[in-house]
Amino acid sequence: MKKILLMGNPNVGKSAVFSRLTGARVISSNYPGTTVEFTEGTMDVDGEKSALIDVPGTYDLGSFSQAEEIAVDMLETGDTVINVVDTVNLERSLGLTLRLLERNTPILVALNMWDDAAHKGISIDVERLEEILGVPVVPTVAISGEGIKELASRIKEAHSPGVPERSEEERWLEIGRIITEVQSLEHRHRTVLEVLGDASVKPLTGIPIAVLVLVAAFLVVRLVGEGLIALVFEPLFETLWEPVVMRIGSMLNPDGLLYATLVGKLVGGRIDFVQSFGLLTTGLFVPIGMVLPYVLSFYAVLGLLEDFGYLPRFAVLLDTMMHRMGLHGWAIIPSLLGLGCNVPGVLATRILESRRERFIAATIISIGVPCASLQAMIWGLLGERGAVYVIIVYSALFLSWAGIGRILNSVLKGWSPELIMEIPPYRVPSLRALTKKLWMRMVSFIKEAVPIVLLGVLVVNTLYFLGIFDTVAGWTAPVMTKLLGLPRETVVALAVGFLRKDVAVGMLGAMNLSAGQLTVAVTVLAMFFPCVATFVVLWKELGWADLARSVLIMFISSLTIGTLLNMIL
Amino acid sequence: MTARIPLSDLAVGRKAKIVEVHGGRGVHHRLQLLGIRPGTVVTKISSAIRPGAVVIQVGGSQAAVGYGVARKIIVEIHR
Repeated sequence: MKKILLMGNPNVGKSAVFSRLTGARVISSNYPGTTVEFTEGTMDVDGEKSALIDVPGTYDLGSFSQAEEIAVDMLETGDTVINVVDTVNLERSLGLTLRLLERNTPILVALNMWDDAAHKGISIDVERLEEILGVPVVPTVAISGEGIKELASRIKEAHSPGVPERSEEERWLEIGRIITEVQSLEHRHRTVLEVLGDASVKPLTGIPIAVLVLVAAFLVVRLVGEGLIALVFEPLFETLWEPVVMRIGSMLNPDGLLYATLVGKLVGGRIDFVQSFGLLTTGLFVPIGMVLPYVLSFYAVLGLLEDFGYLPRFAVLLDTMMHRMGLHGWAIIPSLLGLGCNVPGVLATRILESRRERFIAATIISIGVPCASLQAMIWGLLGERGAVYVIIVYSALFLSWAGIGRILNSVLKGWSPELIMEIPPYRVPSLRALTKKLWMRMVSFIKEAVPIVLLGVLVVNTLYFLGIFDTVAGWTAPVMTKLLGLPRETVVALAVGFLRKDVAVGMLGAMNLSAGQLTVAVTVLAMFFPCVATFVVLWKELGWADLARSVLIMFISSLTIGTLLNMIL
Repeated sequence: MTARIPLSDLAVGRKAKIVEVHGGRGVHHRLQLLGIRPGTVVTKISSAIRPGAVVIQVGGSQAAVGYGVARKIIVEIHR
């Protein structure tokens, strides 16, 4: 089977061209680093089946990054290259095109985002460009599918013009010549989105916009999450699921192990979905009834901000602040992702250049960034006691995040690299892409969370049954009672936090703690140790030695903050 | 009269031609890939309170560079 490679700079719509040519479902995101994994599909070229490979986006064919090395490797094995080019940034895109023309692989060029260029008053003489490059050039709009048919039909015309290898200097001169010949600019008024885009990076207007965006994002996440719980999920559990569980319970011996495991304890003769702690009650209600609605609303809002193009601008505004923590502005992205789930947050620290930065970023995410599951439970259980307690938890976490970042920056040797990044234009996101991305994130949440929550509930019940908790609680009693002012058995919830933090908060909620105690316990739970999924990726990303250091920092900081909170509250 | 100043000192809204880029090979390369190299005309879109990132218009797109990098990009302006 013939191999066709799709190559181009990052963010030129390569993934969209890919899904148009193959009709496959692919997700295209803006994070450099996450696309290092490539996608493969099949397509018909004149009745013959060919493999189409979406090569990671690169600006060059060298060995400056992992993505470039992968791209060079793949180029060796390909039969044809479709070079996807951003028409709006033709000058920059041509760097890679000229490099590809110096290779022996047949190539054709897709001038993508043709419509954007037209809107911006940029016009390209396609025929002249074809003449100069010596290969087919096809204007395309991958988002709408325009030009894709012609692109596919001209794959057979692709060839290698046999250009001798040039120096970098010569290549830039050549690009300059090409641009003057084929590109003409027309003056036109700036669009509303462009004006808004510039306003969001200027400090005077950008900071109020950032505050507005954050407050709006928070309110929408909360309102939609809470609304879904009150109007959809709670009624579903109470009217439809509760009778089923009662029915199952009535067939079992109410004093037996099976009843305790499946249904749990009744509260006032009824099932209490938070406190009963059976597999079919709390085990299902926590992930689906309490956490899922918030995860859904969080990712809907995050997806919107991502696809609109707001995040890079937010990163620019935070650059100065992040430098104090030994990071640069772009490093806020992993922490933002961590608010959904720490696992993708820690994985996204790969976008940072140095090991030092990755260590700082991963550590502060694990300590100070509560995932959506944990936040949902904090709002659900601590929120009932008063908003002020929730605010205390958030402030303590934020101060730890920033404070530990600053301390690590002054303690660790090394320097912080500078920000260098592209700022994509604001774009009105496509509803189809948004829902597709949200759907994929939801499916992966359900697949990963539900089994582990069930396992967590099962482990808790078994350990209680065997009486192991009492022994453990005895050992740690001095720390729990003296330093943190918590009943000795809260250590059990902290231990369960290793499996799932949402389950752990559920246990704390069932322990009759005072509001102050619950605040201390929740803060310590959030900071002291990552859940098992995060632990595994931390280990993979940092290695044993740095993981051990990171964990030590977590222990020390959580006990310090917990003790301080205990003294204040 | 022309004068050479670092990009960090260029006024917001002004256009200038890049004449020199200092710094290591890695920084050089990454800037070049965003179209930031001697000969290019750029417009400064914004700069944060010092020492903050600088946003510039380069051809059809925008790029942000940290303050430290902006000090190493030398531009030519006409007085």
